[in-house]
Amino acid sequence: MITDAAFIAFAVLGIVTLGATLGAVAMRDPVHCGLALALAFCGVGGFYILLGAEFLGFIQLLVYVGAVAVLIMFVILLTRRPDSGQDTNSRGFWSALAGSGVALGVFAVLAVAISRSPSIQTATPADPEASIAAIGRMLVSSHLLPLKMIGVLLTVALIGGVLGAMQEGGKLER
Amino acid sequence: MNYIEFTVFLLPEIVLLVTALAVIGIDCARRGKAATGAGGTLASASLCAAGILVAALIILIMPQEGRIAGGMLVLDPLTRLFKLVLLAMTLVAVLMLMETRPVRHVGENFAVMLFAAIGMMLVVGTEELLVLFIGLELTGISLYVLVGFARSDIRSAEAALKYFLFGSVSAAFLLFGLSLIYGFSGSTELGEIGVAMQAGGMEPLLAVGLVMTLVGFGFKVAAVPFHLWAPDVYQGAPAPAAALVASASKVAGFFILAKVLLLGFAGAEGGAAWGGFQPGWVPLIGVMAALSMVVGNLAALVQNRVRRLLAYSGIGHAGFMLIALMAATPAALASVLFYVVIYGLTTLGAFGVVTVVLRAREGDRLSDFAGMSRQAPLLSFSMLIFFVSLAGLPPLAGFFGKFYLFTSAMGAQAAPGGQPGMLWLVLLALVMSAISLYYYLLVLKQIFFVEAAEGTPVIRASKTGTWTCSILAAATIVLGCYPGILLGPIRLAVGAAF
Repeated sequence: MITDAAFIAFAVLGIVTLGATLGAVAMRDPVHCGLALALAFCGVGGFYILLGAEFLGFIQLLVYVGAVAVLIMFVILLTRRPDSGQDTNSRGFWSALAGSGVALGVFAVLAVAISRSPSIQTATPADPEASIAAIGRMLVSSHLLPLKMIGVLLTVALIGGVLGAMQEGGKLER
Repeated sequence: MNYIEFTVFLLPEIVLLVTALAVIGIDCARRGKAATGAGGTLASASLCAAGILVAALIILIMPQEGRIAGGMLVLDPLTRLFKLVLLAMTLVAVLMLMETRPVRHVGENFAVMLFAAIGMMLVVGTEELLVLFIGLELTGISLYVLVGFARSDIRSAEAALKYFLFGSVSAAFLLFGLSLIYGFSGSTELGEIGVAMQAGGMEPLLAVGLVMTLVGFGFKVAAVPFHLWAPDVYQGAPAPAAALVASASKVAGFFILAKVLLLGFAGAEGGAAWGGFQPGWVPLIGVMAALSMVVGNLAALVQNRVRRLLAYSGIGHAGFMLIALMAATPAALASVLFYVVIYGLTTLGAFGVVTVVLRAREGDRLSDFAGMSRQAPLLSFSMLIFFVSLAGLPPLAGFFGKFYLFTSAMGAQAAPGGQPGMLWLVLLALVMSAISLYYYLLVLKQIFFVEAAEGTPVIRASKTGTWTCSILAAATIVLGCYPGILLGPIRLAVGAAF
């Protein structure tokens, strides 16, 4: 059930997350964008906790805020050249307008679809047991194949990333 | 969960994975010596070929059949057949890679090709959304890396970036759509989703899920309006990578799209008959099919570069195949699968010829093909076979592919008056396929009737290149004369699976 406190928490988290994601795409300085993105990750983690998926929420904070966002900040700081610090992210007015128009259109369609779908109105099923032990057991039993596949996928991504960062001569690009 | 059974089911993929890692390992060990030399290429290529052959052999002799882990791994005659087809296509791409100019990190190039093959085989062999999505991503990421491999070529980098950006956005749409469908049906297994759809009926949120899923798949099979990446990728990518994108990845894309539509979205078909419109996935596919045929074939008319021409014609062919998918019957599915294999083989061959020309003349403009019939008669004849088959003239395989496609489409979706409801689409397809003959002939005219200008480099094909293209051409002729060789097993397998 949605209590008042939960609703207020949802509203605050929603505003913070939306504002942070907007900032991540709209701000001029890449460092600010990265920080805004980290805040957005926090907001999403908050949603997970609010929905009763505490483990997922904490993992989200740990991995995305603790590792991914920090990595993004490092990359921005290390690769930023002194002469091109400020001029990124400047786009024309019309493309911004077109982008917002498309986003609003998609949002409108989704909102209408959600509000008119009968299956949303039915009672939510009971929360499944989502203890850390249960998740761990699932990962090595019923969901073993997806786990292994993600391992292979990350290997390919790693190879691709290293190749992408290499110069033609075979040295790593600074 | 039985780990032994699991390992046995996955054995072909495991063999490929080990081969890929071994190729990288050998490449690392050779780093001290001339890693770019022909010896390194040959060693990597033969190891890859050996791995692919062993995997194919395992698939052939493996007695196991069935589905484990809730449909995550499905082994039946159909998935086996298509895993073999994918392996064959990857093998040709590996041979083509041997033929191209040596690049640095050639070992990684071969390895990533095998990773792409693993992804596609997993996609083909599953009926579960989670494995499906991760498999598509594994394939996608490998292909992005392959497309961007020619680091010295700015077009390759551009192609990789475009492919990556389009691919990530479409993957996001696919994931959003699949999660809506999961939310609606409460299952990630295609069969159970189909049951839930038949019980539940259409509602707005499910419609959104269907549309988003089809957006994701539309990108994979390069159907209009999600085709914008295709011409740049075909043009900019190294030819073997482009060949893999155009053949194997399309086969896997169509296979899994058909499976999702026929198994998972059963009961949400709707109708696209002339005057008999009903909401569902069939009208969506109908729009994509009509647009793909028109845009693909008309845009191909004005292309000056053969790889771009192949890209637009590929978009047109995707349109033809989507028509038969709309019929949503096992017979139509068999015709789609037959067609996509034929299309993959001929496109692979055409790219093989393009690889040779690119290597000799550093370009793939129409004029770069001039006088080829004098210099490389066997390759030119193969190109003739491929293009005539793509245009759909008898007695080649492409003709029978189109014939089965269109007849199975005619038989489905009766309109209110009792006439075949998809007549309008089939007529459009016939007109477009007549148009396609023109641009294929433009290339053939250059090959056979235009003399090479003074001073253009002579096209010399290596033995491997000539043999590979000739075998593919021979397969096109044989499958044209005896389509039953391939269609028979496909029909049997489809009959067993549906």
